[in-house]
Amino acid sequence: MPDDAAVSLRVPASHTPAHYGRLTLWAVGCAVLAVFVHIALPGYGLRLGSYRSGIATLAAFALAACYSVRKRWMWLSVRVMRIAARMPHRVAHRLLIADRLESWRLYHVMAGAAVILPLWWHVEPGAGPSPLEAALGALAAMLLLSGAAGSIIQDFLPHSMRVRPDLEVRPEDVDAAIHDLYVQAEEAILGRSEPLVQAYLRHVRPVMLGTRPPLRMLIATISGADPAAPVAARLRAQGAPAADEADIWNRLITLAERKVRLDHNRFDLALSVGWMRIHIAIAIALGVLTAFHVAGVLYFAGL
Amino acid sequence: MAQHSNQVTVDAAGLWPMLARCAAFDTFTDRERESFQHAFEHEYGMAVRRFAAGDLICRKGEFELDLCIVLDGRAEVHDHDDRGVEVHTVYESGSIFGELGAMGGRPRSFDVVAARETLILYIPRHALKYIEINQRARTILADRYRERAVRAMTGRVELFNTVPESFVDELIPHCGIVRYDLRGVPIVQQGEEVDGFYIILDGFVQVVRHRADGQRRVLAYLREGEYFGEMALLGGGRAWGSAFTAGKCELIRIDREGFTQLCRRYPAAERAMREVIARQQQQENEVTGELSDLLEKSGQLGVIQSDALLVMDLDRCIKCDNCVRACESLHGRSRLIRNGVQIGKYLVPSACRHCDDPKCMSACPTGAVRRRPEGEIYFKYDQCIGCGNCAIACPFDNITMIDTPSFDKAQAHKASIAGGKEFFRPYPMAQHHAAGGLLARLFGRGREQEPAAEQARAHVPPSFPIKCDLCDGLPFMGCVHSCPTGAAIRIEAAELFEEIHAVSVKSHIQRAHDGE
Repeated sequence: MPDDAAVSLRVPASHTPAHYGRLTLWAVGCAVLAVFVHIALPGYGLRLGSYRSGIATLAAFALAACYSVRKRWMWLSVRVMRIAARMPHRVAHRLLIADRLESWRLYHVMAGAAVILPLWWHVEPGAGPSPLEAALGALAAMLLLSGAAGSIIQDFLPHSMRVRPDLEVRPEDVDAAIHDLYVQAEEAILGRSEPLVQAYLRHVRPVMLGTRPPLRMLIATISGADPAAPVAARLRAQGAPAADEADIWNRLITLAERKVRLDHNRFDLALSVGWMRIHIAIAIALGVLTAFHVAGVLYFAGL
Repeated sequence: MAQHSNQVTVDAAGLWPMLARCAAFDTFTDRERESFQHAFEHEYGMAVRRFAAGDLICRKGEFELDLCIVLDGRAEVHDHDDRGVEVHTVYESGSIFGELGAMGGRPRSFDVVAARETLILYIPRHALKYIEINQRARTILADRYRERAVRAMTGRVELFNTVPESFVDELIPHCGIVRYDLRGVPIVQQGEEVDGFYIILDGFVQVVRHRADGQRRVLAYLREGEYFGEMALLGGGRAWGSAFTAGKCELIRIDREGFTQLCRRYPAAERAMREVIARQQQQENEVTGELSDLLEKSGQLGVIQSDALLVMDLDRCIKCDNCVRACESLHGRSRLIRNGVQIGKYLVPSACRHCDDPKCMSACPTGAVRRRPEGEIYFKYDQCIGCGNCAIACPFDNITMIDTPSFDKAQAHKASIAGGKEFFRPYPMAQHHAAGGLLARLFGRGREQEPAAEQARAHVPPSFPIKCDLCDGLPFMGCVHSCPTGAAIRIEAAELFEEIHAVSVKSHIQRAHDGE
């Protein structure tokens, strides 16, 4: 049996990213191009007919869905790259870059934005949609909107998260950090005066154990404001019950501030992947309804 | 554990007369001889190998950490250049080579080819103590090491481009090898008298300058092939800045007399040094306090010493964990945890960094942790005894021990992904066939193929180490290839600091290699 050392990388590896720039710009560019083509070719949808435009729409959606398959199934990628390894160095390297998930994401967004054109042609000749068609249209619009929202989130959220204090990159680390803060706060209050303990229980502990409203967090994310600032201001306004315990009170405020920032961090982490669940759910629903639509068309109208 | 196909069976008593021609064994006492013979019989990796005429004994650039003694025959050192192959040195019976690898952990400097049928005794790094037990052998090895190290270094560093081999011969008595094992040890202190010129043989040295305003600035990390101490020797004799070890490092120290001769006889070398001095002095103004802190932190966290660092650009990372999933889907078990230290906008996650000075490699008692010429650290699993020393030694907790059935499953998964390639499996092959597929299990076909007792390995370790092997055997690095935003990149630490506009820590050797 050969040892691992005998097997080496054969495809010229590129360890640095391709960096295609802002995804949102690509999406907007493709959408604008689709609109431009539609305007430039008036009545083309009618000439093309429902069947052809429907097939084109379906093909564009299928193309966009390939990204999801590629993302979850590395097997195909490995096979493609093994074939690429037999090709000349330059070709293999280009194929490697083209097969990167980063590139696939770009194809996904471009196909997703470009689908507007065949979809527009497809719905143009319709004379009043049936309930199924109306639902399909709504789902397609929601899919495009959620995709656009996703592009914006993926383009801008990472940087906005990085520049904020108390950054954790995994939800489980946020949980651990919050627990650690709670333990620190509880230890800090041990053996303190009764008024301070009562103030802690009334004002600080709810912050340490509670969660912040998602809407407020979303506003903070969009506006770039620090959600901990109003909480800290409120606690400072309360003031320490005794002057000689001001240091402890300030420390508790600092802990509460960090807790709110970690809550915000957790919200951002959830947002960065949460939109995708909605996007996928809409895509599945759209797929199911499309299957009904196609089956219905074939059954009732035939080819 | 696996044996090499060219291994020759020689008993310990028969070996001793063959070593008679090697000067290092001349003064061995009976007790030392017995100890060596006992080690030959019991230490893993101590073996005699036969090479036919023209066989390649070792390849330039490979990290084979064995000391080689020519027992019989003749070996030639081949140096390749544009004009073809040149025979550099000839090793006759009794000659020793491979000190740089065995004692310094460095790659082979040249190709060594058998000139005729040759017997070589291999003494792995961990068994060197059985030779060094003898005072004379220790001195011989140390002298040879110093000579080879100086020759190898002067042959590669551009400072010595104009210096002929004859002067290197004269310089060797003025050279000494200095080793440091710990980080933060002062080698040269700012303002103090400097007694020598230092060339870094291995490891990293941190250059620090205490400014007039009282601020301490980390200016650079020097690495293999770079040098310091010249500023003081060419100037007033006092150090302009301080030099501290940034981890385990090894230096060639040329004394003042040797340095003076070098500068007097080869003005080009002095000119080159003066250029470096000017650059360093200019650097003092370029490195801000913030950058200095970043460099300090990177040195403390061992980021500087990484050869292939996986970093994630936090301005791009969308926290989807696709890198971790890709790792798991390719290797059956993820070798990456998306958490770690943050350097500027980069996150350095928990994944093997392929360190310049791999602690895991030094800790392995059987030489199962190996290094490729490109710098990758990998496990030679058929030599692994599952002791877990590597996992304990890794200062970054990037090696995980997993139980053998899970390891076997993971290796099987990797083999299925990289179809057509075979990967090490801890259990005998028959057992894998016996497991078969669902149908085989349902109809009991596999039972007939269960391994006979003699087929089974004598000892299957209870666990095996796993770590990032840069997706060895696969056509790309899973984590980098599967990052949807291009946030995950695998770079050398020097490149990381170039990107964030810090000082370059790229070695002269590397620069020459890159054609800069």
